[in-house]
Amino acid sequence: MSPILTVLIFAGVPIAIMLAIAALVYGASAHRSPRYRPGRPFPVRPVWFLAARHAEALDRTGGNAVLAAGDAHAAIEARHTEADRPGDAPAAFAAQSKGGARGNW
Amino acid sequence: MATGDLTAQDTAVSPNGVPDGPFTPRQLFRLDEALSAADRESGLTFSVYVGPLGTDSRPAAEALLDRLPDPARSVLLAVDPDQRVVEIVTAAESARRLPDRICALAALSMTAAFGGGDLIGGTVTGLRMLADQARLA
Repeated sequence: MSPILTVLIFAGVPIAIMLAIAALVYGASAHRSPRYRPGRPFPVRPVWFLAARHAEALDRTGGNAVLAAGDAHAAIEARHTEADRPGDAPAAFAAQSKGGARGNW
Repeated sequence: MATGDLTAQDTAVSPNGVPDGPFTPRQLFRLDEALSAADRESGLTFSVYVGPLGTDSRPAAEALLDRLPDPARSVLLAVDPDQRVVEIVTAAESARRLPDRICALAALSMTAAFGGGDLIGGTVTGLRMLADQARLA
């Protein structure tokens, strides 16, 4: 056999097989969302989920279960101004104490 | 299920390079299932918020709960992966059915999972624990 053919068969085929296996191993995860590592910055657009059936009760486009979480910032900022209006039902509810818990990691 | 709407966009990256969401389509499916099951079993409305809460996470989370359509019967699990804080907020009816010690247990399980980098696992665990405790007899 010619030298070129020899190299192709004995070196090229194993390399091609290795590349195929590497592609199978790493290719599937290449397009996933970045992995969350605590302590490292994890910038992500805020998302707010409700179960699908509740999404229809809200006035959102397409019955999407993700609320407009971009409004969350407006809600967080506006809380201090809304609490000043007396007699307003949402504000009165907001003034009630809430339960729950918190955690850190 | 609405996850069909989310699949197309959730692994995309918005123009400024920030990922559109923290979960892959498969994880979103799990989350939707957990939310639906929690709602069905308990009769309360569960919601999950993942995103920044600012330096004062508790008032921010309470403000979010107030924006829901039925806050008295709602439970909010708010996760801030950057600040590494999770807030569980209940009000009126939901606080009566889920006392604070139950919420503290759920928060503990969630932080254990989040500390290991598992956002979806921690969220689903928290939902299941709370739904189980608030189960309609």
